[in-house]
Amino acid sequence: MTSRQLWRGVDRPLLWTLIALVVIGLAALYSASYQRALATDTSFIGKQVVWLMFGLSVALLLMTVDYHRWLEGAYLLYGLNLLLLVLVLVIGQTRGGAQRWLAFGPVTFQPSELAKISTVLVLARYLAEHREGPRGWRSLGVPLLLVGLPMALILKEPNLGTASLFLPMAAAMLFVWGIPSRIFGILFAAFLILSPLGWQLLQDYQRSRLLVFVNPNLDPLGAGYTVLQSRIAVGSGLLWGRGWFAGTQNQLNFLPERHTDFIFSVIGEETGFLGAAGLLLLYAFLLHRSFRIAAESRDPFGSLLVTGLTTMIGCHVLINVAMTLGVAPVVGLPLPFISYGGSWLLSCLAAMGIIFSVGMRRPGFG
Amino acid sequence: MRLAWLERVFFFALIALIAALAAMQLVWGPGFRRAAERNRVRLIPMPAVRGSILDRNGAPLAEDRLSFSVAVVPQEVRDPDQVLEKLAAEIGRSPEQLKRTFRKGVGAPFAPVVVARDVDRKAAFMLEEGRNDLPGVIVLPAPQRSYALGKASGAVLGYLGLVTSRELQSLQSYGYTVKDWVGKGGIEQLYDAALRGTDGGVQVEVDHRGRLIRQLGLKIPVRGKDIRVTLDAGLQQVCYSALQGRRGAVAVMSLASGDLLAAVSSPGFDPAAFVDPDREDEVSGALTDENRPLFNRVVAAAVPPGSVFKIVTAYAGFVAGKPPADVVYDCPGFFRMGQATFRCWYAPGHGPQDLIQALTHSCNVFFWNWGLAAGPETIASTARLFGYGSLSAVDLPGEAAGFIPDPKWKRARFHEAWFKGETANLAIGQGYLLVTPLQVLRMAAGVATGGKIPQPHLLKAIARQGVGIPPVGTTALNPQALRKIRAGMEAAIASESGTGRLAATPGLSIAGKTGTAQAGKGLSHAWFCGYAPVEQPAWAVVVFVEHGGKGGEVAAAMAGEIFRALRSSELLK
Repeated sequence: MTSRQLWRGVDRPLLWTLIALVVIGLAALYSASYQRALATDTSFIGKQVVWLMFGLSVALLLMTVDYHRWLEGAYLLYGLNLLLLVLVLVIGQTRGGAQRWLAFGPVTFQPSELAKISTVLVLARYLAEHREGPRGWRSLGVPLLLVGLPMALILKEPNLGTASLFLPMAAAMLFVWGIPSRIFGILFAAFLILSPLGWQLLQDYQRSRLLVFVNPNLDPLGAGYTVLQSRIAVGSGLLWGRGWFAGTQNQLNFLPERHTDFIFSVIGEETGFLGAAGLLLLYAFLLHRSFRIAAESRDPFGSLLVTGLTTMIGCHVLINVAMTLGVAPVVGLPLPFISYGGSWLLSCLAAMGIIFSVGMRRPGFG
Repeated sequence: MRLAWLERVFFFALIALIAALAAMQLVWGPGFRRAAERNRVRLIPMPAVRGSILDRNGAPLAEDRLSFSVAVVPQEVRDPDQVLEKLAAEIGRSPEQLKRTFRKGVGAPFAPVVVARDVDRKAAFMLEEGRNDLPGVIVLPAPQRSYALGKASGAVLGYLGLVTSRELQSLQSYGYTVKDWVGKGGIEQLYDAALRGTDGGVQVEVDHRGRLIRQLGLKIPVRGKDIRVTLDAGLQQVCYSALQGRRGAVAVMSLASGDLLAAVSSPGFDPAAFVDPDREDEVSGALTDENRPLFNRVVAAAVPPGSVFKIVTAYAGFVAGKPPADVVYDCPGFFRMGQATFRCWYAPGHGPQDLIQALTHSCNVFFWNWGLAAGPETIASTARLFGYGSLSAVDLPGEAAGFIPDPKWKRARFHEAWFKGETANLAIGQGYLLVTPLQVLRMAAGVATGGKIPQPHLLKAIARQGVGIPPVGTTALNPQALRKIRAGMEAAIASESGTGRLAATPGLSIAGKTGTAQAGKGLSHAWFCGYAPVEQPAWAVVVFVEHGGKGGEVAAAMAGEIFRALRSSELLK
């Protein structure tokens, strides 16, 4: 297969969707950080564009190289990532009570974001290699260990949101891998029963977030403030929105965290129902095209890989939007391609690079 | 295919989110939009200055004068106690009180808390100039209503208070809102619509910390209109002093125009106390005082008139021709009617009295005879002719109509015949009869003007625009009867034996009639009504002292003081 043929196999609709999301993300971020830029003369946009370029290069690299090469290096990458996660706990930067960042000079980086991808890689490889064997309880041991290790390290930071995301990712991959419905059902039921026990393991701030989720008026100026203001922002957008740069909740600083986790509130406020629902439809289309690539992949490696990564992106969208609307607790998961944050954008673009890479190498394409 | 199931899960979850989005933005959206507006828009009210109330010469009776309040902005003060102590020393107030007011008043960190009102002008300027000494302390100009005559004009001017929910029901359509101050009682209430200006305000946009971002709108407050009234500040003060704080009322009316030159109800209250939060005790005192200072006795006190009513009885008998006009009754000091014996106020008896003498001496025996001859219906209808039993329509709120009894009323009310003794009581202004001081004043005016009773009123001009003199109510009165009555009233003052001789004023000829009305327990009500000068009547005067004693002693003496003031005043010219 020539390289020209290979590139012809790029999923065009998926590419345009991705470009649209990135552009929307920059526009929303521009508005969300405008007041801050005026006040402090530092713009988030510049930094984000740099990360965007870097992320796109990484994506291109991932697309050029056959994904099987990455699967070969999966354990090495996974091991390195675990090491980074340990390193975070030892020498990481602490912000807002959580130790999540590694600093390289002026650049800070969250290894936990990358861990999502390396874990998907290693899990895809393991499951693909063991597709012939029996799929009983015993076969679950190694996959759970592979997922559990990074999860435990991330929980320790603490970063409950990111850590809990490993569960649906692993579940989706195991599901597609072909784990018997009976075992899947039992695991799901066990999760539901045991999750109240998890309450005991939570930090105080995490508990208060969950309590406030149940009733935001519990503490309207403290923990519930963000959710209330976010709901006001989204709701006040009505059908058409208040216009770009015209959202009062955004521009007058009533919305905290609006350039990162709550950027969807800005979109909801300034572009209204049409803009916000349109964005969700765009994500739906992105998921649809990605799942199609998973279905049409020429081998189980690609299929599992794309399933894991698509689930990661999809879950972020669902949880992030649900928490901005106040229908899910505030767990601090960013919105893919749109929320500010270098490591996160890089992870998203890398994931897309791998998805494209699998798509380009489908049989009948290129 | 399990991948298809996975995709379906995501698909339905996204649909659910879009549904939630639609509910929030399209169904509940307007509510959230309002919440967003409440977040960002603040209204800083700019109260309008209330119009002044001026006396007939333009002297202010009530005016909003510029006062200075000192306020502290909580977020700009690190150690409030220390700042307040320094501040207290500068403006000469007690530090404890400032601290207490501050603690009570703290709301939002950016909202200034007023800790001291009506600060001395000099101290306010010092604070304003040396602002750096006390960061976070600001001086705010605030209109403070002041009343030049204080207690002397309380009842007639009224006072200001927060609008009640009941008042608001009728006032809402005129643009009044909760927390508005409105006039209560007197001129302040009656002409509130003119006096109150239009409040203004600045609408500002604020950020999440309440910091001002920009001005959205400005409505400049419009000052209320000035009201000029007919009162003479000097005379009002004289009349109030004359009452010496006793319960009662005095009114002086110009006969040419119906201008009320003085309208005093005593004991008074200082309306300024109602707009000063530091004088709450004084307000609650005024509200609970058993002397009822808020009650405007000039128009609202309905009481028996006693002998001043003999003017009505005299006129009634004269016009009816029963008894003959030149009849003479002998007064032995008592009067027998059936089994009962009534005593004249002068126990030795007045001897033979004609109508003029009887008015001069206020002889009860004469008027019992005279009244019984005239009959109760004639007396009652004459009383109505002089304006008793009906409102004078003066521009003061709370006016009482009083009451005139007659046989018809008694039958309807008690299913009883009218007794002769009741006629005797009516003839000397006792019994069921109730009148207001203003009605007695109108009667005196009617006698003085020969029936051209001017309409008593207080309003002279609104915003320098004169309102003119209200039309005179002309009543055709019998000139011969009036001549006799006037002669009796003149002699009552001028004669050595006249009951009103204490009102006599050198250089001013006066006609008057005293009254001593028995009313329940305690002393009698003391009355005086009259007019002057006799040759060309210019003013009518009424003095009423509740349970004050004898009219000839108490009320006539007070009237004398008032006439002396009138004589020496500019009003004569």
